[in-house]
Amino acid sequence: MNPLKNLSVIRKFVQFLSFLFLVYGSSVVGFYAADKLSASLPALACAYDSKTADYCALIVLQHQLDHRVGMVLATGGAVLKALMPTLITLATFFVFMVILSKAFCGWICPLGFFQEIMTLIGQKIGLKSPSSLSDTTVNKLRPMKWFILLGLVFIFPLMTGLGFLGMSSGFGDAFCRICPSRILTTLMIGDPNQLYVDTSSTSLMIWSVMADFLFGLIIAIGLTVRQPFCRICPMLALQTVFKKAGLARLVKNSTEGCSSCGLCAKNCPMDIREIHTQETGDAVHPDCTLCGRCVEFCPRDNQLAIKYAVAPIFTSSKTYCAERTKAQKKWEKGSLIKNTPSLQTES
Amino acid sequence: MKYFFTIGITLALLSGNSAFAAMHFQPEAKQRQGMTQQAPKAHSPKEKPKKHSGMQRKKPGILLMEGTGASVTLIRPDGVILPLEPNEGKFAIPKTGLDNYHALVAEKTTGNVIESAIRYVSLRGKPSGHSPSELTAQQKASFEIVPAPLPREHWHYTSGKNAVFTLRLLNEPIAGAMVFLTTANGTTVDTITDSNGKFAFQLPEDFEKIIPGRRKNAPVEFRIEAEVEKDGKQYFSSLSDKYYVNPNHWQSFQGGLLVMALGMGVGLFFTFKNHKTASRKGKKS
Repeated sequence: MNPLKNLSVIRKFVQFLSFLFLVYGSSVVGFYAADKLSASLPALACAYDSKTADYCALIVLQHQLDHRVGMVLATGGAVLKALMPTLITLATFFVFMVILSKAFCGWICPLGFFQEIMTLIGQKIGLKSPSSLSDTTVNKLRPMKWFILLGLVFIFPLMTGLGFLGMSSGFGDAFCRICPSRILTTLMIGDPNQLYVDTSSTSLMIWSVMADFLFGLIIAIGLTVRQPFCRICPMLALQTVFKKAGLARLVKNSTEGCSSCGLCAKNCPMDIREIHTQETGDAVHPDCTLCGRCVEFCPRDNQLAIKYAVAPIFTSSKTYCAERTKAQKKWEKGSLIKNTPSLQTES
Repeated sequence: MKYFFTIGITLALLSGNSAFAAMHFQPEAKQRQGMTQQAPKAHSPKEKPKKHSGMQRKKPGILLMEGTGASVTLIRPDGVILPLEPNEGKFAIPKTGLDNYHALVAEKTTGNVIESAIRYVSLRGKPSGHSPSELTAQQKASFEIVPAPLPREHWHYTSGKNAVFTLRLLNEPIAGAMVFLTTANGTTVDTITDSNGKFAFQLPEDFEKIIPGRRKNAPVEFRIEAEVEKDGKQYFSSLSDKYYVNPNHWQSFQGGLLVMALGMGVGLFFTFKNHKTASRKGKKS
């Protein structure tokens, strides 16, 4: 298959460029916060990375809730004035979501790209992957991103600002304390200072141990499980709030003729089985990253499509699916250690 | 162009007696206790929240030392210059309504000697729409030491970290000049600018008493000074700022690496379990 026609190859190329830009892009846009494109990026580009080109919305939201909203509420200041920066952040986030919707996860996020690379490495060293996680596991994991968004991104920082939690306890930016992207992106620029165990207080020690452990866990589990952290990522949850406004979307054209192959669900890196059972219409599930693999491996013409507004960008076809499946088999046979193809697809 | 660099000021600094003799800004003694390290304050977790201690947010009055006769201005992020009047050698930074870095600049001419002192202060306000790089690029004094870059959120001057600067005369970089770093903790070091006028100092690990925790150790002042002679005129400049204790004193990289390895170990356990399960299923099918 011509790699230039392979959506996964194109996506990897875009992810690679995005990774370079978001991890090292300060040389292009500038070093200071004022130089960044926004402070509301719907992808995990960390502000602790001194060479980043943009800031993830989550760190900004946490700081605003802690330093501004919480404090103003606690001291009785002008609430609307205090809320304004948060509203601007959310409005900018909304604009981003209109432009690319959840494709920020599947095409832009540095941590998402890193996890995909880990899975590719796993394949290349001959590790076989389960075709998908069990329904029970998926069902247990799905609500976690909402708990993390509400608890770590909103409630804990707000409680810190209100004075219920200590300033030095790490609850003011609770999600950043455990975010693997903070460790990943700083390590990628040669800065080891975010991989640490903090001994200054019990709470900071717990946060730091959780972060380091989670980072190590993701690296290893990512060798056989696709997108392990994305499944609990609060960014995915925050994006879901705005997903209806997105111009980029996954559309299922009709259930007529849809066989029981379920290849769309089996190839979904987020194990969204609903793609298979979904009826006609918008098929963007809260866990969807718009990676397009379901469309690639759908053997039915025009069954699934990625559309931008009403314009189809990529549509499923029998011919493409056959070529893509063949290319996938070839790729997986090329193990660096031994020929142990771990196909996600069915012939 | 021919420059003559002198080392007189070095000798004065190294002698210890006249350290910090050149014109420079420093925070008001009430807030900062002058150039001495503040007594570390332990914050109770139940203490009422205070303002974020990030990017130079606290605004005490600023003193201009050895600055008699100097004209002082505040340059806003958008380049607008505001004259400041001292009150007994003390300057209250006025609210400009703009966020981000402003430059406090003092300059005086005595015969053939031109002295300048600069300090960057960050104020709260509306977003200015201007990057601090515009402020650093702007010529603020005939002779100036320019941070490259200035600290920002999550990137502060800390002990043990390299801080990079550029030395400029009439907005042109000066190569081969000697510059001096002096800290309130008593360290003095020197270095020489490269061909692009750049120089770096590793901020010294000279905090005597360190309490684990970022907020528990007050920052300490440092000052960089340089001198150059050109066309029969002598130029002196100083740049002052503060630096913090390096968190590496209570954050262990080795510990982090160990915990990460532990996480990887647990992850690999599941990975090989997955691998075996998938292999068994593969054989059956």
